[in-house]
Formats: sequence, structure tokens, C-alpha cells
Amino acid sequence: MRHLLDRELVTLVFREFPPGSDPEDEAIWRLHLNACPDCTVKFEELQHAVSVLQGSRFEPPPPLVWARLQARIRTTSVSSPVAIDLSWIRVAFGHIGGIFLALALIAVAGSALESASVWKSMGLWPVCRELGGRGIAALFFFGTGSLLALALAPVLWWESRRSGRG
Amino acid sequence: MDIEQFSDEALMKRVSNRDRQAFQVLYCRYEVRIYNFVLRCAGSAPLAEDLLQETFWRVWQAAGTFQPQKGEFRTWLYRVALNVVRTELVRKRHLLEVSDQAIVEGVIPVPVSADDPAESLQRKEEADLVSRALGGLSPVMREIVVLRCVGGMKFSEIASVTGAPEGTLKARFHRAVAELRRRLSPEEQ
Repeated sequence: MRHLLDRELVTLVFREFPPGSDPEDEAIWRLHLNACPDCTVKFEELQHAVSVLQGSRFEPPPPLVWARLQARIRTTSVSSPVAIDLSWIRVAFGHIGGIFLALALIAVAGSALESASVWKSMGLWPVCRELGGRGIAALFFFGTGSLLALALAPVLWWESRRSGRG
Repeated sequence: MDIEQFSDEALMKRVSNRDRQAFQVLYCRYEVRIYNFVLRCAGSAPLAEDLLQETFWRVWQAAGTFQPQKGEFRTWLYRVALNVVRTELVRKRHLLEVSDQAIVEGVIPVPVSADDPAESLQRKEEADLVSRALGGLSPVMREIVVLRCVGGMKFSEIASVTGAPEGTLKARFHRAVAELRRRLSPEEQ
């Protein structure tokens, strides 16, 4: 049988088998290790070196590092220019765009209102005649306004939540 | 719930909202590990202090970019520390040589004292020699050894930090230890 590879010896020392590796690998490698003096020596040397390396005492850093870090954060937050939040411009343009779109739709729909054939084709001509031109326009504006408000409400809610978090 | 019991990820969320208390808790949690990691990589205490400060300064600045769904905070922190070590050492053109003087002054950590004083002394001598030899390794080799043996990271985590495949890292680790052994052999000394 071939000798164990370097990475296999390291895997055995740390018992860190990569995901997807064959579960029988360890048993096969250990069998070889028991039978091969060369690999046993390498394994023991590696194990000893690792135990020495891992047996180090940890030195704490001096407290002045934290003090310097705090001072750096404080200085930066004081001296840095006030961040100007321009996100409202994007939101405003979004809202204005929405309003213009709605107005455009109203204009298109308004011109369609003038055409009696549209209402006749829909079978609503008697109702329209009953309401009159102004009545239809008022109804249409009210309906469109309500739809617009419903469409913008989630956007405004999300925006207020986002700005509150920031 | 006490803030000190918060997970790293929960604390980072607060740090991204400029919560200094949360940042302090994170600092206290990792200062020793990161300091010893950069100390072993840099080989000098004053430089390691600068690197520790720079690492946490970057954490403070980049807290908003941390994405817990992409990995643990610890891995992300070591990646930041490793980048700091690499860039700062290149920038300062440090020679990456761990001086004997630093070890004499107790800058390099020494082993935990064992029950038997003779064994403790032997292990201390061994650790001193290893620390000295560690300074002679190439930066790539030293990073792997330090991340695994000082940082206590698994090879899969080191792979995530360094971007190298796990098998390659294990092979390099083995070569690094062999190099350490060669440097520590009586003929070499």
C-alpha cells in the first residue's frame, strides 16, 4: 500500500475530514499507520509539533490599543462632514413620476370619456347620460385618486421605516 | 437580555448602526485571539498593536458590509485581520523576521505551564525555539500555521479566509511543519 500523503497525515492529526470524504478513509489510513513505521514516525513528529504550537499562552494586548481605537472613532465621528441624505430626492422623483403617470392616464381616459361610442360599446351609455359629463369626470378622478393613494401607501410606509432605521 | 450574551452576528448588526457598546463587546471577545494572530505574523509587539487597532477600525468602518448568511463573523474577522497583516506589512516593508530580542522580552507567547516544572521548562524552551523558527517561514506558510494553531481555525475555515483549497492548505501546513522541524534541528542551529 502507498504511504500516506502529507495532507492525509494532517487530516489524521486534526481529525478534520473534508465534507464528502469517504467515511472509511480514516479506518484505512489508521490501518496503514499501524503497519508502516515510516508513516508512524511522520505522524508522531507532526503531532508533537502541533501540540507545541498549540500549547502557547495567549498574551493580552495592552489596554492602550482600545483607548486609541476609541479616540480614532470619536475623532472621525466628530470631524467627518455631516452626511447629507439625498435619498429623499429619489423618493420625491418616484412619487412625482407616479403622479404624472396617473395624470397622463386620467388625460387619456378623459379623452376617451368624450367618445360616446366607447360607452355605447360597453353598454354603459344610459348610465353616462344619467350622470352627465361632470358626474363621470368626478367619479373618475375620485377612483383614480383612491387607486393612486393605495399604490403609494406601501412605498411611503417602506420609506418611513427605512429612514427611521438609518 | 444582556448585550454580552448576544451572538457575534447580532452584535455586528448593532455595530453597523454605530452602536459603540456592541463594538466594545466584540472587541473584548476577540482582542486576545486577533492580537496573538497578528503578533505571530508580524513578530513585533508595537507593530501587532497597530495591526490590531487597524483590524478593528476596519471592522467598525465596514460593519455594514458583513453578511451573516455568507459565513460566520469569526471567519470574516480573520479575513479582515489577514488583509491588514498583508497590506500593512507590505506597506511598511517589514522584514517579517521575528527577532530573538522579542522572544527574550517575552513578546512571543510561551506555553501554558504544566504541572511538572521540568516539563514546563522544556515546553517553554521548545515554544521559544518554535517561535523563532516560525519567523523564518514564508508569510504564506506562517499564515496557515498561525491561523490553525493560534487562531484555532479549522482548515475549512482557513480555506474560506485565504481562498485556497483545503487539501492544498493541509499539504502546505505539513511542509511548514517540516520546515520548522528542519530549522529546529541541531545541525541547523
